[in-house]
Amino acid sequence: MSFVNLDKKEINFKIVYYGPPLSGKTTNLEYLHAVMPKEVKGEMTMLSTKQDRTLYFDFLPLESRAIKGFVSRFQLYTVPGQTMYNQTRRLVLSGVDGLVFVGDSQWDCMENNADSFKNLQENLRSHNRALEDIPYLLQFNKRDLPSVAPVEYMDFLLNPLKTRARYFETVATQGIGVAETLNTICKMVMAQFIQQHQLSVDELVRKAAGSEAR
Amino acid sequence: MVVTVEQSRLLNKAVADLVAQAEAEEAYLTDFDGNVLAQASPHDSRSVQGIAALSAGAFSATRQLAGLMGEAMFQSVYHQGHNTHLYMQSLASQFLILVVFARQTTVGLVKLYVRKLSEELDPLLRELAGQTAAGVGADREAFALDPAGRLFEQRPASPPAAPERRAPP
Repeated sequence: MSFVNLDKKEINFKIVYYGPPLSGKTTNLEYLHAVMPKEVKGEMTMLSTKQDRTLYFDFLPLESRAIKGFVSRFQLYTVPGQTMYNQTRRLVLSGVDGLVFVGDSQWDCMENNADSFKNLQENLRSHNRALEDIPYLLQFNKRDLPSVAPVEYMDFLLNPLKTRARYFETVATQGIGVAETLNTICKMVMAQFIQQHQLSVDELVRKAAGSEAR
Repeated sequence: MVVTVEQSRLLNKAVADLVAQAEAEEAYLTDFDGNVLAQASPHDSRSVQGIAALSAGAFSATRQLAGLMGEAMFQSVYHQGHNTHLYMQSLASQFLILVVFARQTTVGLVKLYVRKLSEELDPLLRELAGQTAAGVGADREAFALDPAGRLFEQRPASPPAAPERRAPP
């Protein structure tokens, strides 16, 4: 969940890139780390196996001044896609504010995509959370490869909720659609945060009455 | 979770006192998600994020390990280095204190002052842990988007060489 320090004027948001093995989650973060100016990015941390596969998570902190008077910190995490690392996927989802589901567009990955999406929903339930309540986006990655499924099919497969999620067609190795995905999920996360922290009408009335009394 | 100005100052003072009394190098108070509530350290808050995220991740993994061994939780983890050591302990079931120390002190002394800190901060940390999802409190502020604020733009220079797509094993 978002974390606010009113003393330091900082707000932290946690965004998790989720998806099946080798769909491009780490590549998204690597690209962002490479292209973002140094004033906005922190060090990227990767916990990988010897084979360069994500073992625990990748982590990239980015900063912006999008909320008035505060430094907004977006902490980007990936999860390990491999089936055997479900415990760690579940741990990384703790306190998530926004999700990007990175699907692999190749036809032979559709079953993996569907399984991973189902696994995401199960793991959120273990934290008493539901996808419906969390800002999330879909990324249909590797659109440059031959033998990719049509976006309409992927949308049908991975967009089953009543409120349909927005999707982006991406080629993360070339950075196509990567920054757009990030900026959109950040905006969605901030919009939800601001909505949750708006003073209710009752509170505003009470506050106004309090200052008049003083 | 929302930490007010007053709470933040109390937490920072307590962490600074811990470092001084235990003769440690630096210390951080984080939650289990890796957010830094207070710190006594020469590093700026941006570079501390990696330390906090990794420590929270390591401690989470340890909690899972404890579960597999029939323990509710391992309360503390000690990483012993050649020159520098790290002691982590959970506080109020949702927070972590990380203490970095060197040869001039001992893990026993660090544990002693961490216990004192734990007792001192317990009511405040439980109050923070009890906040609702929206983290409301008497000091809640209204937040608004900055019209001049920007999100993330790529550097205008040419993009980097694309990371190579990894082949399936």
